[in-house]
Amino acid sequence: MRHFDVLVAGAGPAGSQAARVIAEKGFSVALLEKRQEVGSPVRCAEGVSEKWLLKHTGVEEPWIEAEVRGALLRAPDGTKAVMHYSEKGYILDRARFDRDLAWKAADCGAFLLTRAAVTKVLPYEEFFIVRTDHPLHQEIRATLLILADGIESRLAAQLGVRTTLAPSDIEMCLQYTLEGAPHEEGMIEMAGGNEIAPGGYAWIFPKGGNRANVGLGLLGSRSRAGFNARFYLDRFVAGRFPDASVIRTVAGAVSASEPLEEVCGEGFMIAGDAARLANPLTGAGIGNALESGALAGETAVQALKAGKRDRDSLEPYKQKLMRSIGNTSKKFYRIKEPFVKFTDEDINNMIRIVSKIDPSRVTVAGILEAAFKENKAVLALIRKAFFS
Amino acid sequence: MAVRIDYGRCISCGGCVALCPRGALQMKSFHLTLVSERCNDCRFCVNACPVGALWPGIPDYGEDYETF
Ligand SMILES: Cc1cc2nc3c(=O)[nH]c(=O)nc-3n(C[C@H](O)[C@H](O)[C@H](O)COP(=O)(O)OP(=O)(O)OC[C@H]3O[C@@H](n4cnc5c(N)ncnc54)[C@H](O)[C@@H]3O)c2cc1C
Ligand code: SF4
Ligand code: SF4
Repeated sequence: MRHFDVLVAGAGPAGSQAARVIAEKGFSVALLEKRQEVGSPVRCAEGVSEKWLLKHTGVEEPWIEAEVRGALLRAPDGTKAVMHYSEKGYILDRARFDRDLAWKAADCGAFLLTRAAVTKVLPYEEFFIVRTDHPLHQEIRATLLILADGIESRLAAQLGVRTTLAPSDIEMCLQYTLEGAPHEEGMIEMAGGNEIAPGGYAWIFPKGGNRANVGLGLLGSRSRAGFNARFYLDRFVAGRFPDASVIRTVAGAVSASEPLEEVCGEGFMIAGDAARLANPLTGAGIGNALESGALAGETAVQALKAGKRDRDSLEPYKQKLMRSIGNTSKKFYRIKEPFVKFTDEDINNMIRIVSKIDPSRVTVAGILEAAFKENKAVLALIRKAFFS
Repeated sequence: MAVRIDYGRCISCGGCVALCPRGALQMKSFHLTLVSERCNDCRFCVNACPVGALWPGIPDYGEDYETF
């Protein structure tokens, strides 16, 4: 049975980033992925801010399908507001992006294994015994574990961490990649409203030419059998792009919760969506996955160098994670609660106010201020979140 | 009474697995499985599934269900 310094479960952006950081420092690391090809099928709208790529992966030409300069916000009554981003964004080819990140980890020495679902993680003396469904590697030993198994994570639960999401803390999403869907180039569009996507929003992300990712997310607690994401998306697409053809269907879920309280324990760390790190208001999770993967990888390297694996030695992961994304995420979560209760009229008012601001001066904080202009308590929260 | 999975519709998105409070749903590779003994028919998953692939154990919605 092979023994690795670290075993990473899941080769999404979080897992691949962690595996690369560890392999680069010369430690042995296995990166196990249940899919037969890393990155496919895609489960994402593929939008990412350039700052995360510059920090962690660089920007490579084949990954980029479109550049994004700003966002168009559309209210239920049709009012539009435009926001110009201060930093560039990209729409990725995530199948290629995810695959390349995993292959880069392998280039650095990680043992990448596909069609290998981790089925069981068992703490045993000073290491873990990891069971997989891969016929040639049914058991692997590892000193440390990084769980980066995404939204449907069950591995952390095996180690006693509660990861279940309440229906009000999860966005259930469906997306079509459409051909023949004319939209404004270089802009993403987000449309809100209780008839469009209750407790969530619909998006149009450009994929080059007349191709676009058109999808929406519904709060789990606002979805009903029969009135689910498919019902709303079909209606949205029929209204906006009646002539388009569906060239890809993507279903998936994003957490809209606070990050897990317990992101590390004896010998293990949890990264990316498995740690519920996606932004609770926007659902953006690629950047946070990269960041948490890198931090988990760095912490693993430090612990291995010190010959330690106890909870205290992995605690720096939690601290760094909270400082870089966790605390912001918690603040967004507190704003999300009142936000998802908005009536259509509230959304109309919010976008009307924002539409009067110069697009280059519109910020997320500004949008939220417009949203809660009547609600002093939430306003104070927003000011604290963004300006302190 | 446990929920039923319509495999013709399920696209293995994993959402229901994340919200089942009883750990009754699991994703074996890309195949959703149900441990029926654990399911208490709370229907969180039935309501939330983005493509309507989960059905309540008691077929009290009758034929309306067929429309979606
Ligand atoms: C419809 C939709 C649209 C989205 N749009 C955006 C967006 O525009 N921008 C953005 O930033 N974020 C978006 N997100 C969120 C983003 O996709 C995730 O936050 C991101 O993929 C998280 O990366 P990860 O590495 O944590 O997990 P994942 O990318 O989910 O990777 C987890 C990996 O683990 C594997 N795995 C799972 N279980 C096991 C196991 N037992 N053994 C081995 N491998 C396993 C999975 O196959 C998968 O490859 C969207 C999500 C959805 C559903
Ligand atoms: S939520 Fe629906 S589509 Fe997604 S895995 Fe569960 S049953 Fe399948
Ligand atoms: S009905 Fe409730 S307990 Fe049963 S599988 Fe669905 S979410 Fe889990």
